[in-house]
Amino acid sequence: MSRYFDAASGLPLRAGARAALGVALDRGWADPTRLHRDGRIARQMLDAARASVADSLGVLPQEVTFTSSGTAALHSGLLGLARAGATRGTGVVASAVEHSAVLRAADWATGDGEPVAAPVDPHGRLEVDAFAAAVAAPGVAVAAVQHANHEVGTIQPLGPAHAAARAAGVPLLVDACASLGSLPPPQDWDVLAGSAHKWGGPAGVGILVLRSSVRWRSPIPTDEAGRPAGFPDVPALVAAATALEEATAELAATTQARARLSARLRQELPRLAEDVVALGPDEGRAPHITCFTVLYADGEVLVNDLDRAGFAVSSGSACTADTRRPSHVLAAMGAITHGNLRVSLPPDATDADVDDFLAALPGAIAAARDAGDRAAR
Amino acid sequence: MTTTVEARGVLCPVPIIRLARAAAALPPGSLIELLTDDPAAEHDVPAWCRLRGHELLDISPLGAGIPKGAADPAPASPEPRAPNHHPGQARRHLIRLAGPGSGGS
Repeated sequence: MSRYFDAASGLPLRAGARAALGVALDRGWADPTRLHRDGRIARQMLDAARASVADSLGVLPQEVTFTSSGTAALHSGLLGLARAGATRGTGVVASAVEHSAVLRAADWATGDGEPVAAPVDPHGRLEVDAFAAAVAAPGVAVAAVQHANHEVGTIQPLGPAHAAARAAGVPLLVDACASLGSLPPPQDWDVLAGSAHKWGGPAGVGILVLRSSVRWRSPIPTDEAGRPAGFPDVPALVAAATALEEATAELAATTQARARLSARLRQELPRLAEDVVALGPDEGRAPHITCFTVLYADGEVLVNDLDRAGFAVSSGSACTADTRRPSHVLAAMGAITHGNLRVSLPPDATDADVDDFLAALPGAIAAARDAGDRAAR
Repeated sequence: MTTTVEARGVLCPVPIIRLARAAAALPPGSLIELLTDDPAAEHDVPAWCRLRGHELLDISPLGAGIPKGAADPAPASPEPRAPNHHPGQARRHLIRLAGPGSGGS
């Protein structure tokens, strides 16, 4: 038995995307900039993929650019806004709970300066007043706020955040990597970034969406027509677009089903053992992400115990990170960083899956706490 | 009287487990000083105190850089350092315990 509850890290390729990938590998292999027949077929496939993504997101095809990952989209999105806004200054304001890809790009863009981390409340929700004050400061060229938090699932107040950024004349980058395919696309942004493998497309495809009205200058060299340089992976882009179409068509059903299962987890998991706390708000959550603190347990031991029991989950605790630093998201919320457990449901998760997981947890928690007790002696 | 909890040279969740264990054995209002060089404790000690209603009175550095006790465990902390343990600044956290029933598990 294996249950994959790490959807927020990535999903397996959707069936429709796999089929589309096969067709596109056979027919869409040529250079789409060439004028011959094979080139034209690849070009048509590329244009159709772009139009399909635009349709799924409710934007114009010419606003959609494909990148090599969600991280690349975030880097390019933020650095391109910084480059276009350089006359204003090098200031960047980002919520304290942004993905590290955003924070790294913000560090890069500010050079010798420091990006401003806009604070969040204990549920991980942006403090809009503090954000508004920070973007209104002189010298700020870029603001960044995520749609939904990738670790805790908190949905950010993008409407008020975008209004504040707009009032200050600062463009807003919205990281929708954690939410596209699981929530309706956000509307309040100037630049949007997404990641295909999180909606059931292939890895190695990101999207960068630039509103026609926004000033953005590519931070890396482009081709002579201003397009991203390099030979595009047309079959992968076709598969990514097909997966997003599928996810969008199923969205109403999968959102409702996953929100209900996540609410079950949030309600039932803390009752399985003493000192287990659900993180984030009860309302205003991404439907697929839940996050818990299991006090006095080692997050790494918990993840490994659950893996042995057939369940894939992740943890933001320091002991599970390459850096040995705890999650900056949990730290910004003022939450306990040890014993962290993120459970993120795939679109086809069922009540039976959740039942099995809840049945396996008391044993895994007890084992992880025993290990902690032994280590603390 | 202040009870000292030695947790230098060990990583999360061990410092919090030792802290909770000490808290459970002491009467309300007792003072505990926790010594730790775990970078995660910087976040977890205040968060744990908030969660349990204890008062974090003070955080102060223990000398500059890596203290002798952590680099070369003294009798007070006899365990070998955990693998991958890259100690941060050693700190002393002074905590006053809240009322009965809030000492943790």
